[in-house]
Amino acid sequence: MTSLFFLFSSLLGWPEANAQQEPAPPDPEAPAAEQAPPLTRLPKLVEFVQAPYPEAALAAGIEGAVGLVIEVDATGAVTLAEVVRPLSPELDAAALEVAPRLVFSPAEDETGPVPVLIEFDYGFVLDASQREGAVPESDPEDLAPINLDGTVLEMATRRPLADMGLLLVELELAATTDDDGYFAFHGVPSGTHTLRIARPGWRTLERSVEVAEGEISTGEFWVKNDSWSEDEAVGVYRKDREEVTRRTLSVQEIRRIPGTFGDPLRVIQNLPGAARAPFGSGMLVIRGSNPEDSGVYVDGIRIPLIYHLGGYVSVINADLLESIDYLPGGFGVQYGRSMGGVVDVTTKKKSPETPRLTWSTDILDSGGLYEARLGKDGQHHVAVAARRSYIDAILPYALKDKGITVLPRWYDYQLRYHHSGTWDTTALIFGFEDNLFFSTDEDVPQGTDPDTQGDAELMYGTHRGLLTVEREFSDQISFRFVPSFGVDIAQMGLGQSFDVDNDQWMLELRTEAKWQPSPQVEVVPGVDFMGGWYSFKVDLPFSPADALEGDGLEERQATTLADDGSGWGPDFYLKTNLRPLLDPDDLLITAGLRASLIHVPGQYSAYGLDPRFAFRGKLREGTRLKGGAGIYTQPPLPHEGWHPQGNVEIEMERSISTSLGVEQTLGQAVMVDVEGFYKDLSNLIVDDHDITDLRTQQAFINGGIGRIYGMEAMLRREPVDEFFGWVSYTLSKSERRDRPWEEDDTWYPYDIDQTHIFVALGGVELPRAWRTSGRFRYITGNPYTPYSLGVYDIDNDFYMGFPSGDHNAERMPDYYSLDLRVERRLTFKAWRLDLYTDLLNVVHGENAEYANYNYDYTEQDWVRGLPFIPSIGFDVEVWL
Amino acid sequence: MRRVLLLVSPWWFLGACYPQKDPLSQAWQIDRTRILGVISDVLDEDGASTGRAEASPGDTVRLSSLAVHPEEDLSVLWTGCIASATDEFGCTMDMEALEALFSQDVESMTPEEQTAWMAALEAQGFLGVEPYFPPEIHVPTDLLAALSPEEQLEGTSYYLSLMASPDAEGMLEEGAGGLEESDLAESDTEIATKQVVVSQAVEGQPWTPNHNPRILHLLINGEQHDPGAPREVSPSEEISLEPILTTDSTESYIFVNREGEAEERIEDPWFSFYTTEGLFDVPYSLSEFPETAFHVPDDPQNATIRVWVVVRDRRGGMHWQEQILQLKSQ
Repeated sequence: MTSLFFLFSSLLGWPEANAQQEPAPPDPEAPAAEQAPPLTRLPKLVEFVQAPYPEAALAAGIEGAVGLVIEVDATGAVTLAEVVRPLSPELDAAALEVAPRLVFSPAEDETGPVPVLIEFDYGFVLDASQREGAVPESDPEDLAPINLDGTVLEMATRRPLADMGLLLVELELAATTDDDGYFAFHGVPSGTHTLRIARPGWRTLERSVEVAEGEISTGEFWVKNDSWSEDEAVGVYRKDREEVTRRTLSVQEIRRIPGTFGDPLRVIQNLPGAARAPFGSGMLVIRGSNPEDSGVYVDGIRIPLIYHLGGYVSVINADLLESIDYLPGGFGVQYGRSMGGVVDVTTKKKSPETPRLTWSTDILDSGGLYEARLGKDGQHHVAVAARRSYIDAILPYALKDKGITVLPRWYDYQLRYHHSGTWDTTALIFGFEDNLFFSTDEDVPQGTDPDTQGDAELMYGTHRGLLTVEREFSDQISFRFVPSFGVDIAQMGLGQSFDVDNDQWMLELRTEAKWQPSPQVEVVPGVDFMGGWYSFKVDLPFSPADALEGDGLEERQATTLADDGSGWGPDFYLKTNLRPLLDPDDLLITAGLRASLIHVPGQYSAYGLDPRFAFRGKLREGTRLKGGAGIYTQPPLPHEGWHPQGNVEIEMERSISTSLGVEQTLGQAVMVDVEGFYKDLSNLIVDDHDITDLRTQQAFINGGIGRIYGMEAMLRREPVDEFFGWVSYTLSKSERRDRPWEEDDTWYPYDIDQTHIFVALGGVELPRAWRTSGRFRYITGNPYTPYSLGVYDIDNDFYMGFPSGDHNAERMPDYYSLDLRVERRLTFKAWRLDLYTDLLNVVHGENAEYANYNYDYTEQDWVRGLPFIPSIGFDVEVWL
Repeated sequence: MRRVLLLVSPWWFLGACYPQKDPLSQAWQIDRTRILGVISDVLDEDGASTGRAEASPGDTVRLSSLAVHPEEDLSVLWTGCIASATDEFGCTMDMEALEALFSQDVESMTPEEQTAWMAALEAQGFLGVEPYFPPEIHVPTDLLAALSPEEQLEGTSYYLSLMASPDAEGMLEEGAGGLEESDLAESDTEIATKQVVVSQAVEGQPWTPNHNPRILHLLINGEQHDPGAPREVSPSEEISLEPILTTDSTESYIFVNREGEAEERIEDPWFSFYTTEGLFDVPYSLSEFPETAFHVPDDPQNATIRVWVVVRDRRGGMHWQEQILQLKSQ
């Protein structure tokens, strides 16, 4: 008899490009692209169809697994199957033939069943009777009583494993586990035997079993899953993607990238369009925009910062992240107040069926997460996470005897509750604080200025409460309501003279409805409200107005700037998705309009009207053309829109953005994405160099212009097997003019204009649960303004530098670095341990970050980036 | 760019410990032409020092610089003008008029003509060339006439520019021909600026004019030492240096704030240390903790090490002292 086993090895993310080849009409229940929620239930095989073992393969004794990619639609039916890892022509054909008859329970996200692409290993295994020298199998009716049975469980998760193949090696007796992981052998002769338990994806286990005459031997056997856990293997099939470029990465893929400290949010810097941030600071410099021009969202609500001090760790526990969407440009009207890019972080809503505890430790910090389902039906999903740095405990030893104390520290926390029902409700409370303390011994002066003596301290933080309420009223209408409230805090102090204290109580609200009257039309109206109350107090030992006058011997007079007030910005948007062609998936046109308003009573009001348009269309199978154009307006930063006398005349900054690109799939796992873009910036807020009195004149005006253009390319290999990786390249130019109304004003390169950004990274799984990955980066050096002369101010004992060239006229040396990561997974019965080491900058690149001059500007070298840094850490995952 | 991002990273602080392949020269290292200080000294009617750094209309101000070089003798070219005659690059000078004055035959002039010639040079911004032509300012008696009484107490400033170089002829040519930045960057020339305050502050009144501080001693290892006599040191020796000011160096003065209120303030001078060889723990100190440590090199290049300490009172007043350290013979 031929025995077949099947393997549902893993559910892996499949790129949107592949998904869009799918000819089936969109499922009306499928989530809209911009908020495609994570999968909450994986598809399970409910009806297996046994393929006949091809004679040729049988004769040749070929066995193994045919790697398939199949689409499971929202009903659980298989609508597409392709071979991605062939075994033999006959077995490949046999697997393909029966694949459409397999039946699954459909995958689900929060909105219900959704179509997905999964990888499926269709296995062909010869049983003992078909192997060379096999003896004929006994008639089942002649079976002896069971005298060896047991259960097969997965290590770490402790779940019973179905369809595991068992073989008593010496006797060539085979058995298979049922859904409860149970197996049984009949009439096993007494004695010691070797029991082999095997299945692709799990490590083969061999154990000696003792069978005694007249007794039943029972055992519990633990096998190790060599593939990644399901929780990590997250990928969302997005049928209709409205943005011109939305890059979604799986957490599985991200956490293996070296140089990111395992932090998913740090991976963005490896994607096309993202410039390298100085010192790895984690600043988001997307398509040549200022860092503050890009927005970061958590579950649709904008937050001011996403990284802790130094930019090495994001402020949300990585185990709570469901997906990260990176939109370098051409994003829809649901995102606003940004001329740069958008990073949209979606947190997990649901907890796994088995309570889980994770713990991560590295050289910077430690943190943990507990998540579980509570209640009789497990409808209450809770998660608690927290993290605290301890680099402040280590640094004092490193700086011992240097007479200085540096104490950076941070913490963050997240509390999440989700309840599924008619109204799906998720409450998320999260926050973080960062603190940097610096001081010197009392007899060690901090410079010669009496006002800079003493301790220095910086603290900033954010605390937010966020409620997400969603309901699907019908197949055509759904509703989402996300209010949030919290506070942003920033404090800074130096000695007795400098003190900055700023609080902003933020009220944010996003409300969105979706109406899909037909498969061809979807209308999404929404409100994105942001407002709140601010208060600030700035104590300075001098008057900025006096400083502007430039008198080196001017007596300082302490100055306090303080104010409180409010600001409100209700933005309204309307988006329409049109699929005009017979096959709705062949062309998607998105048109939208966003009306922006910001009003700060007593200071200023500004308005923006942002029409945007995007399209994605299929040119031929595997090839898609995409493009878009739109206006993006952005309000002033708080300090730009404030003056002690009020009535600031300032307007929104504006960008007209256009892009055109093409995506090409190469096989099932490889995708090429090429896109060109042009951005015209206007109304940029710049310093007003003509003011003479800061007390009566505002410091900023709308006068700058800019232009950003270039192309991005990405060749990406999905993590469908042991290898993943991508190569990305960005060619761009970002320029500004601050005083275009003056004849001698010329274009200058933006401070972080990087002409070439090349990133190649990849990872591979090795035998015995080892994994390794590497990243190489080559990036054009940043522009800088050269100096070659300093004039000495004798009274104040400092040199004033004089540029020897135009602003940003020269470039620093190119940046290159090679980072490596090696990790090993150890799996035990109830827990799992990942040990890793990150080796950063192993080639010791010079990596200039800033031009550094000697005291009189006659010598220059570079403030270099991070030297070679080895980092070690571990992650623990325990199922309770 | 209007936007400056404050990147606060613990690595920045660690970066200070990052080994540099080729450290940049430090301000306290005297390995080239340097101007370390300038004293503006108001003279009395007899031409003697009053100790005042701040002048009044009609005063004569003698200027002197501490311009040093490890090996060479220096010349210092002085120019200056009142604040209203400056632009962002310093004094606006009529170079043609200056050239015409320089082309005159001074030796054939009478003393009266020479005085007039010097006054004409000063009017064009030329103040002198050390050590040949000691610079002076003759403050016009009507300099503050246009100001209100309050503004006269606050005063205005002379802006001085100094150019020091071992090459006096070349420097004069550069000074006469305008500043060519590329030439200056390559030559061993230093350019410096200083303000000299001119006000109606009167001695003995609350609005007392500022005086230069004065270093009384430089204690070495806590002991007073004759500044004119070299102090013997050994390679690798560490010595402490503690400048001691005269008791009247730290002055109290009146400052009228923005609200028109008079505040009494006390000066808070600081010290800067310089050397031709060796290393300071910290190359500056404050009046509260004026001491610093000096490390004699393990393998000194010269038998004589020169050390300077300069004190500034943050109001334009200055003083300095030099100490010679002589290496003990082996």
